[in-house]
Amino acid sequence: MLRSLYTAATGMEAQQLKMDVIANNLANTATTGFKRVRPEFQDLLSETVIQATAAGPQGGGQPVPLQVGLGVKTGSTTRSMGQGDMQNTQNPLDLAIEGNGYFRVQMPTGEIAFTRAGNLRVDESGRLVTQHGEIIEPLITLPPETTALTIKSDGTVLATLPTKSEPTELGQLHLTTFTNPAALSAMGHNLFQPTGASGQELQLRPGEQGAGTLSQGFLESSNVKAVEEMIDMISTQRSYEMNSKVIQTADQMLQRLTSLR
Amino acid sequence: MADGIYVGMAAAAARAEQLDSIADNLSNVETPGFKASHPAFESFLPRGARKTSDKVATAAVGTGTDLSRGIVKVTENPLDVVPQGSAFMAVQGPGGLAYTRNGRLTVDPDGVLLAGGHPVMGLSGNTIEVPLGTTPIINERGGVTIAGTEVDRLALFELQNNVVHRGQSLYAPGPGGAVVPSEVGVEVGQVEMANATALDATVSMIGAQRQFETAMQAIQTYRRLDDRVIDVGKAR
Repeated sequence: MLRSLYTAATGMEAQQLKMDVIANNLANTATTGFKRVRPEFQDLLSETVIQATAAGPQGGGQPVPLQVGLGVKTGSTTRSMGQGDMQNTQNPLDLAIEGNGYFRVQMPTGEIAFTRAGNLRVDESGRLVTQHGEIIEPLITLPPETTALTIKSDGTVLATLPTKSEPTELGQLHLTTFTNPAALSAMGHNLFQPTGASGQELQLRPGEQGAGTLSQGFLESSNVKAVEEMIDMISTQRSYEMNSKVIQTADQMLQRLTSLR
Repeated sequence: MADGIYVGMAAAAARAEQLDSIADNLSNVETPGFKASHPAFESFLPRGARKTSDKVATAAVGTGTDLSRGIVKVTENPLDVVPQGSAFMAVQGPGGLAYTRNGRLTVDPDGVLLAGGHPVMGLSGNTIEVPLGTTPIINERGGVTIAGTEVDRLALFELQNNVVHRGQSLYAPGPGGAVVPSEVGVEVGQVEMANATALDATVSMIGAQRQFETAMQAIQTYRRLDDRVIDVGKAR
């Protein structure tokens, strides 16, 4: 019976963690490039009270073992990498990735990170940077006299300059793909860092090998679906309640037991 | 002393065991591919009891695993699959080949296709490799297609008779159990959650608690009987 107290507690802990994840997903419904997170639960190893054994020549044996499960644990949190909705912004510096790729950016510390948030800006020296000032790699610098900027779906960056009739090519944007993007570690500010489990990075031109293409004037909104999160929230709350009921029941039974004397 | 008190004790212990299993089923309602387990009880004659004894005790002797389908959640994730019918996928578990209905497929850093975190077996008899930079697509027949070509199919099996639970939603055939290849396909974009329902668990929880109380009442009655015997002794 003490087992059931702890088993139900693992259930309550798991539901609490799920609630935290749902709260974070819901808080980020309007965050550009945000990918919803879901916790992955696993059942804990069962305690085998009686081992199963094959029947002997006279029959008998233990055909099924007596096993009692010991609850649940959170194995991992996984990001759903599904595409978010495309939002038309008409802003030439907004880029949406239609596919699996990431922009490679350099942080002020010199470290490399990856992002899908394509709401870019131009900094004081004309470089293409993210909202938070991380520099897009490979570096693209806009001449100060640029009147219009065109980014093609294959990542070619073209600037219209007042002195020239034809647009000038400034460079080429790249996208990076990962074997296991779900294992990227989130660093906040829409940035991700590769981990040992995210696998090999491939630097590709947009449009190559599933890296995705770029859409200028669009932003990828978060892929959180409010309805799904609300339903999850209801079921999480109910499961939490049910597990607390088990603790109550076990407690009442223990109380009854101690009242024997 | 009246030995019926031990019958009451065995009954109370069995109900406590039942609550442990209910707690496990309930804590795993959100675990994909989890199958509810129910302890099986058996009556037995206490060791050394006379054959004519009218006192029969009870104890949990085995665990039955309910292999029925769980609640299916639509996720629209192309890498979430549910085998049709009651088929299981074969995976390389920590202790050898095991079977699971946790169809959350992922790819590990080396490009090996995983189901619920364990390498999944293809019909070819090997694990399924996904080349770098590609995303596998699972079709309705369980085929794994990469860039339009089917490279392998998920190996599906039916588990028959006895099943042993290995943890992490993995199951394996127990003694006398059998594994039979199955020809069914998979449902894509869905994931199967546990088959333990809150209603079922609540009802059995109330039942276990009440029967536990009955056993406690019986133990108390036997104690009162013993007290009376002692009182009679004092009166003499």
